Amino acid sequence: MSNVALAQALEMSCPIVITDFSRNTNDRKIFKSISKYTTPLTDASVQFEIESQNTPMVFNAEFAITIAGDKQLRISLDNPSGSGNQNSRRVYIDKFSLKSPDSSTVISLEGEDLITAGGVAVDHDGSTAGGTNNDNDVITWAFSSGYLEIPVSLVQPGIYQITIHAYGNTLSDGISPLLSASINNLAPSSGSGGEILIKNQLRELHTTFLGEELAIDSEELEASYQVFVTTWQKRWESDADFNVQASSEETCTALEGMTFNDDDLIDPQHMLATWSRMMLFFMTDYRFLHE
Amino acid sequence: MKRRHFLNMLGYASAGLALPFPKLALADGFVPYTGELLVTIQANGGWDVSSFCDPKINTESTILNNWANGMTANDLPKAGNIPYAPFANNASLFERFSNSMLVINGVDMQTNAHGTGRTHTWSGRTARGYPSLTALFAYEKAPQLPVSYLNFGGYAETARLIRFSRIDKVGELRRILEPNITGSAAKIRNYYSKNDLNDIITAQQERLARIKSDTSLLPRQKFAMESYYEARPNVDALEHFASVIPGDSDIESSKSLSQAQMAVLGFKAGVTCAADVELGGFDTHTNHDSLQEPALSSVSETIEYLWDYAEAQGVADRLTVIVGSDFARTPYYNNSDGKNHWPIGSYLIMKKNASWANRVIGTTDEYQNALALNPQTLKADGGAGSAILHPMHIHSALRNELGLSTNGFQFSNPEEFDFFNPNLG
Repeated sequence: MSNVALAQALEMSCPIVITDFSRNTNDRKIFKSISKYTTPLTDASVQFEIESQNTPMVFNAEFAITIAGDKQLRISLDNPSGSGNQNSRRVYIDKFSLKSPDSSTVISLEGEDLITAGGVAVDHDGSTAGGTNNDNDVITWAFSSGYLEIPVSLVQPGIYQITIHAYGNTLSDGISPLLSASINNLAPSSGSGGEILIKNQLRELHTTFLGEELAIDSEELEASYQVFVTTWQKRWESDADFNVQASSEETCTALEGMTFNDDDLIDPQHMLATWSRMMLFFMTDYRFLHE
Repeated sequence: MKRRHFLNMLGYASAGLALPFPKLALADGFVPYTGELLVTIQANGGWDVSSFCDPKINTESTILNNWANGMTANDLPKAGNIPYAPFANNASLFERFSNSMLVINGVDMQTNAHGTGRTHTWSGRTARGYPSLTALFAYEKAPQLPVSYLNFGGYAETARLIRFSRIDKVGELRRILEPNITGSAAKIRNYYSKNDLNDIITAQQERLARIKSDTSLLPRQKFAMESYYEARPNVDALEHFASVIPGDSDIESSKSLSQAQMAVLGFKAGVTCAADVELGGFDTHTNHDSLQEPALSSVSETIEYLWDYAEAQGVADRLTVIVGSDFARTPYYNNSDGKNHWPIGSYLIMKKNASWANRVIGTTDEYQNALALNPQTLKADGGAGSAILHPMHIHSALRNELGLSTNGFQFSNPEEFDFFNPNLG
């Protein structure tokens, strides 16, 4: 019965994804060229380790933007909890700015002005993530889960400079908060860098699992990508917590001889949950089962 | 990369399960099956019918059965109209169920080879590739069921009419029937939410519909894809099966009884219409009496349990049971106190309160040689057209009785024996 294959895939699909993404990039067996933070909207992304615990530090990075247009600047906390100490990591955004290739300022904003400037702070259930904070007259937007986002208009392709002034609280394990800043497209099928990376990964999965060599613009690959996008969007719409085990309806248990720590299961962009379901999709495919 | 290579690469090969993937069918608006049911009980190895339903006392020159020492023909016990051997647990079986039992003796299996004997007994032919009666029944009665043909071992050729579902361990079965359930009974969890799982299955069905429409597929590939496509939507029906399976403490520990139990539960859930139960231990070339006795006892115990459990679960009125073996055993002992193979065997056919029950059809002589039967009278009266019974005669009559067509699998027998006419024999 087909349930035999389904049982096997249900048990293994999530652990396979978690295990592979927890490896160093060069040691991965499956997801060799994509980050677990890359979403269908992601056009470009950078990540910072917020080591400072008391006062804001300056973090700089560059985005390579190939297609200009209206976008969203998103700042996400990538490891909101860990070691069972829920929501203990915390990031304080003092201010941030984005400069265009010609060094003009696209946006420059104090953290506490995020909402009034038209931005949002969103937690997993759609509620506001965090709020203003005042530490010794340093006023910030502090949040321990979710993301901050504000619209930006990028008038030309090229290298953009992001600067974030922030500090954070670590957990007792000493692991600092990880903050990612990304330029997101407004729709998942708009040719973003994330869309291309995800399609390439899906194409590789079609080859590896199903023995199919698909062109990047093939109908079959597009169909798989749409399954991916729909799955990811439904995950967001479900208000699930940023964890692959967000409820008793989900289990992701390390297989024999392996262990997962809490940070392995954290899923701030719902991408681990989405890739797990895609793994289920591939592992129960007719062509995977019939060698 | 192929599946096994992929699993090996990840070090997960041992997590795989080893069950086959039989054909399942669409369960859209699944309606539990409420029609006729069939179980075959296959006594593999060659049972000794002279110590069971065709009892033989000893002759002046030959010890046929040690249990018959000092007995005359008049000493043989009889349940209703059915004589039986006072051996093993026969008394319990025949005394309880003679009113539901038709015995057909003197059937020539035409072989002393186990494989050919099983093929002949359960398909009606000595050649390979013809469907078992169970497969034919499942195919014609309810091919749409998710576990239409349940097989626990024995002869199960399907001739690609249908696929059987093979079950070896009930614990594994439970996991397969409810694949999305994990954790202990005290803390049941899912792997994924039901909505997520349904979404993935739906997406995959859409993909499978695309790829199976490829006109370049070979027929075998097409058949396999169709089978897989049709099997996918059965999760709900299989969960219904799981819901009627009792807890581990109420699962029979005996292998033979657990087979009967699972068959009845499949019937009760309406997901199964036919099953094969396999029993072993009959190939008693040495120490025949001490080995055949528990084997025949297991036949009796399994039949009695099957009917009792079917009654308790409310499916006994719809059930037909056929009991048989590869062939029989010699009407004498060898030098190792064993009995070798003998081609003249028997069938038991059972149905609750059947008008044709409480009868014995077919005759063998004192040394268990088959006598030709008159198809007009079902007696060994030497009438015109008399013939030795072969499995094809039994199958031909059973197909008629069970309402199965013979399309594509006709027998060549010129004579028909209506074993189910209560006025004959």
